Formats: sequence, structure tokens, C-alpha cells
Amino acid sequence: MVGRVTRRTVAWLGVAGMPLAAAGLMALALVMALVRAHPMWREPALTLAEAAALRDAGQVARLVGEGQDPNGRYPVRAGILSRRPLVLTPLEAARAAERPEIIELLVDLGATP
Amino acid sequence: MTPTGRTYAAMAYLAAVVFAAAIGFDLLGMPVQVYDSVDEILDAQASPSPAAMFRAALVEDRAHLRPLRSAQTKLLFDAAGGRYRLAYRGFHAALLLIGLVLFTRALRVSTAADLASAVFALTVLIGLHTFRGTVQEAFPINHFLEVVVCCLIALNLAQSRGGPWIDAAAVLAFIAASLTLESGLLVWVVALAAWVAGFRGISGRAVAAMTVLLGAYVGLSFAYLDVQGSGFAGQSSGFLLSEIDAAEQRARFGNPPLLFYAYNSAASLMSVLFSEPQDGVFVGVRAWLAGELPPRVWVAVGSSLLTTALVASAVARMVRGRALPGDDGRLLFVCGAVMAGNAAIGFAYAKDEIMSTGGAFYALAAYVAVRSIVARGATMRPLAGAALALIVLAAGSAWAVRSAGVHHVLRSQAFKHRNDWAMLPTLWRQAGRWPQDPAAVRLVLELRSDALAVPAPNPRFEARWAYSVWGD
Repeated sequence: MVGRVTRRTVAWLGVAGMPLAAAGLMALALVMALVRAHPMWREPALTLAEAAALRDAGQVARLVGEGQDPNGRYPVRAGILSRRPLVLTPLEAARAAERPEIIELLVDLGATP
Repeated sequence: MTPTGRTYAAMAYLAAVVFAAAIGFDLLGMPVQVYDSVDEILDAQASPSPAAMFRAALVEDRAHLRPLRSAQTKLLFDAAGGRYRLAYRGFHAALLLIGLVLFTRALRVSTAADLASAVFALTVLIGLHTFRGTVQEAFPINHFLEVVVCCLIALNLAQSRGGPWIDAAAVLAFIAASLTLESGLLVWVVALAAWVAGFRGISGRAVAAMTVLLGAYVGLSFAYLDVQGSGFAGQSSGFLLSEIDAAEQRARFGNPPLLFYAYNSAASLMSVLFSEPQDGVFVGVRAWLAGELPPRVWVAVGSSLLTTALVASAVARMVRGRALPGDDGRLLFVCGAVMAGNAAIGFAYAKDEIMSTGGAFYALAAYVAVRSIVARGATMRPLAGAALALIVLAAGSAWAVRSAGVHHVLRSQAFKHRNDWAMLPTLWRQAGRWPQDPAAVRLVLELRSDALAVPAPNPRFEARWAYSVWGD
């Protein structure tokens, strides 16, 4: 009987162990979402120039909509466009990252080409 | 059902709710998408009523028979009270919850073995790539998911004790599904296959009524619709290692390209059984020929191969006369019929989302197969038992990884949709598509403003292994 119980338990764990773990992780993520800390949906703060360099048209449009100057100069952290931190306008950052669609968007939002 | 059985069933439902809630949370955080969606919402705004939208879709869309899809868009628009993302994404999340609950209900969980197999099957359902088509897009309603739900409704009705209300519900489900999307005809396949297999919840009379309605649908399609302009004959589709457009299809296979249609159906079925090809393209083979085989390929193909082998083993036992207990064999038959029917419907072009119903029924078949192994586990020879346990463990682990990938995909989609909204005014003005109606302009700007406010993590900050494991 001990052998059958052990085998049944092993079979049960083999079948459901990892799927249950997946469900558990999803439940944990939901709990973390209650305190705005969902691991998959945390958005890092970006400057307008960083957003332009990273093809983040949504952030670009939102930041300009919130009043940020599309012609201003903003920090771009190391690792985005170069190994050292830079200070660029959004247009300069978009050109450096070769993002023509972001350039187009910035001009539409008032950036001076 | 005994009190213990009810406890196991409740735990299975709890697992389904957790999965649904986790994905639903992602859905609620996503913007309404732009492409194949905004125009529908603008049409809904301009239409006076759902009935008018239903009639307009019947009269104006001569390429498809999807009037209920348009009417639903209008219904939700009117009910939204200005909170459109909540209405459409909320409906999407609710539909997903209903689908997972119906799926779990069809499993008839009552023992520990059932529960273990049910959790396994839920990860198969969610992890299969065909499931992504039910969540990653919405137009603005995901009608692939609606068809899955209608087919699961039909299955549950077939498994019930029956009665006139059951028959009426089944016929209504068929009407609703078939007037929403062409693959809604699969509800008829579910009902017929269930009746042939011995499920008597849906009576023969109801199946006959559905068959008559199916005949009317087919007759109406040929008499009324412009099939050539339907897009069925004009879509690009995967073939072997790449995509080919409609012109190349005709050049290679003639007009109509019957061999190509046969390939599409076969590829669609293989996609569910083996996760290869995908969208008609043998992406795994292509990656291997290119000298790289990322985890997302071998995890997908490996999990599907192992699971399909288990299902095939269960089918073989059934065929050899070591029949699975009554309803299990019936369910396997229905699953096979739905997968084959879904593949047949997808003849025009191979797209994974078209096989979303087939994928759901594949997960049901996986449940039957795994449960039979768990039930036999205690009586197997140790070596055979250990080998099967390893196979199931490997498959379960791979499916757990694949199911987690849904969140990664939805997060990527949220970023894409938000970018689309950001670019919309620029692109529409360039194309001369910017609305002239002030109410339409207000609606577009409102939807855009709502979309831009949604957090959508930039993929640049994701861990690099995420793309390697889950793709995009």
C-alpha cells in the first residue's frame, strides 16, 4: 500500500506539479498587481529622448501630451544609444537610433526638424 | 457526486479561474487595438442600433456572413457609456473566463487523478500557440474566442441529460456562432460528433435541425456571397519554409489551387498536433536549417510531440478494444472530429488563430490521455510507470513554460497597440483618412488618449531569454 501511495503521489506530481507551479506564479503575480507591482507590467520611467531612441511612440506621444518640450534636451542613459550617458533632443535620439517613424511623430508633435 | 468529488471539481474550477484572471488582468490592461478594430468602432458609433448594424452587415458585406459580429460591436459600444476599453476588453476577459470554466466543466472532474489531469490540460489549452489567437488581438471583439466558447457550450450541452431547453440552447449556439464567423460551423461538428459518439444531451432532432440550418447557410453563401472577393482566395499563406501570396499560389498550383488548399488543411491539423508548422510555415525546420534552434521551437515541438504521443496511445488502446471508460472514448471521438473539421474549414489559408477551436479540443483529448495514465499508474510495472511519469513530467513542464508565455505575448502586443495609437493621427492625415465628422474625431482622440495612458513596458527592458523562450 505504501508503494501504491508513493507511486500515485509521484504520478500526481509528475502530471500536475509544473502546471500547478505555473498557476501559483500567476496567482502570485495577481496578488502583486494589487499593490501595483505586477512583475510583467512594470513600466520603467523614460525621458522623452530615451523614449524616442527606444521606438516607444506611445511614451513619446504621452510625454509631449503631458507638456514636455519636444525640442528640449534630455538625458539618455548608458546602454541605449552608446556606452556612456548622453544628453540629446528627442529628434537627435530618434535619428541616432534610425527611427524614421519616431522622427515623423516628433515633427507632428511640434519638434523643429 | 460525492463531497470529495465536489471538492476536487471546485479545485479544478479554481485553477481555471486563476488562469483566466491572470490573463484577464493582462487583457484589461491592453489598449483597444487600432487595426481591424477602429473602423468597426466608428461604424458602431455611426449606426443607430445593433439591428441596423446587423442588417447593414448582411447587405453591404457580400464577402462574408458575419452580421452578428458587427451587431455585437454596436451592442458593446452602446453599453460602454464612454468607457470603451473597459467594455471591449472587459467583454474579452469575461469571454475568456466563461471559456475556461466551460472547458473545466466538460472534464467532469471528480477524483484526484481527474484534478491533476485537468490542471495539465488547462496548461495545454493556454500554452498551445493556437490559443494566442484568442487573446492577443480583438476586432474589437475576438470572434475566434467566441467560436471556442460556443463549441464548448455545445459540448457541455451534449454531455448533459438533455431536454427541449438543451436542444434550443444548442441550436441557438449554432446560429450565434455561424453568424459570427465561418468557423462557427464547428458547433454543428461538435453536436453531430457527440451524437454519433453516443452523447445524448443534444437530441437527434436538434442535430437534424442544425443540419438543415447548415444547409441553408451553405446555400446562402453560394447564392448570395461573392466568394472571390471574400479574401478567402486572396490571402497570402505559409507554404513549407516561407509565405507565398495569392498570385504565387495560382502560379504554382493553378486556379483554384486545390493542392494548396489540401496543404493548408494538413498543415493546420499538424500545427495543433505537433506545433509545427505554424501559420503554414515550418518555422522549426527553417530555424534548424539556419543553424539555430531556440528554446521556443524545441519546447513547443517537444511538448506537442509528447502529448500527441500520449493521445495517440489512448486512441490506440480504444481501437484495440481495451476501451477507455464510456465517456472518455466518446470525448476522444468528438475531439478528433472537431480537429479534423477545423482543419477542413481552414483550407483557404493556414492561420493558427483559425485552429483555436481545434486547439481547445486537443487539450480536452490531452486530458483524457493523461488521466488514463494516472489512473493506470498504480498498477503499471515500475519501469513502465517511471518512463511514463518522466514523459508526463517533461510534457507538463514544457506546457507550464508555454502557458506562461501568454503574458509575455500580451505585454508585447500592448506595447505595439499603444504605438499604433500614437502614430494614428500622423498616418491617417497622410493617407487622407482623418475623420471629417466631429463626433468621430472626438471618439478617435478619446480612444487614443485612453490607449496612451496605459502602461506598456518597452520590450527593450525585457530579459533576453524571454524572446528566446516565448518568441513574440
